[in-house]
Amino acid sequence: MELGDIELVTLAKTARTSAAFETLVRRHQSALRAFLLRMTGDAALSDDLAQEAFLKAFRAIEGFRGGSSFRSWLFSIAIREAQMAQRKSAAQSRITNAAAELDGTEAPREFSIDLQRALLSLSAEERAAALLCDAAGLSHAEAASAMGAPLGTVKTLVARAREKLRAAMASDEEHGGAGKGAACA
Amino acid sequence: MDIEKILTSDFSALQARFADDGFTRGVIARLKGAEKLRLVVVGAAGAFGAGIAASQFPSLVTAIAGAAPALTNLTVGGDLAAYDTGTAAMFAAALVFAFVGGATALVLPGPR
Repeated sequence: MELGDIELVTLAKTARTSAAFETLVRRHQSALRAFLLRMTGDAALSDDLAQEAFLKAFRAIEGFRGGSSFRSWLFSIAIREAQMAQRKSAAQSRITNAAAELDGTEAPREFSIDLQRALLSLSAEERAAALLCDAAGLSHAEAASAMGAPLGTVKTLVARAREKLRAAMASDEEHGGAGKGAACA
Repeated sequence: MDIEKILTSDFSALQARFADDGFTRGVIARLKGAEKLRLVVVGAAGAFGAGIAASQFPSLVTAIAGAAPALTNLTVGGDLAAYDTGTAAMFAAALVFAFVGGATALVLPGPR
């Protein structure tokens, strides 16, 4: 029988080894990295942030009391990491460059160019809320816990982000044709 | 246009791409490296503390011997004293302090 997140966290706390935490990393790494990639638009930066988030989570695991899900706690650490990276001027320029690069031909073909461009046009809060709720499948309450924001604010951010994304994607379809939009499907 | 559906399918595609690409191994390697470093630091600190404590032991024994001369007849360490009678007490003290250091490290909170 597969252990749940809370049981694994308890094991990681009591055994004081990385063995139980390894399972948690394996379980959540793809979602966390996908979230961070869409948050930053930079694959290398998002992997660095995800790795840092996991290391911080492991060091701070004693502080996790189970008031929220492990997933939303992990995402909250990742969001803080992403915010800190954005504040650093070097990281900021990398993010900007990554957004600019999306206009060129360097992006991999499977990359959802239109979607990434539309996401980067949102504010960081709107982007995080939309990605957490609509992409990563967190509930509004979990997203609120991860973002450290009131539930009502998160609901508003998600609704606003959806509207903006819809408008941006529709605009891209009108101007860019069906070829680019197909990458999102 | 169903934005939720687009986001979900895009996210699923990304997750599939990240499913097994060695990222987890990298994270675990860094975690284990940090564990080893911590053990080395705790061990070194324990040994250093034991050394300092042992170096203070002769003056402590002298002070006690001055107050209670009968204590100088005691042999610390039993048979061990026969091999190195000059440092047996210091050796015993070093062992005790090393044990205390190790036990403290074991009960300290935080992952190893």
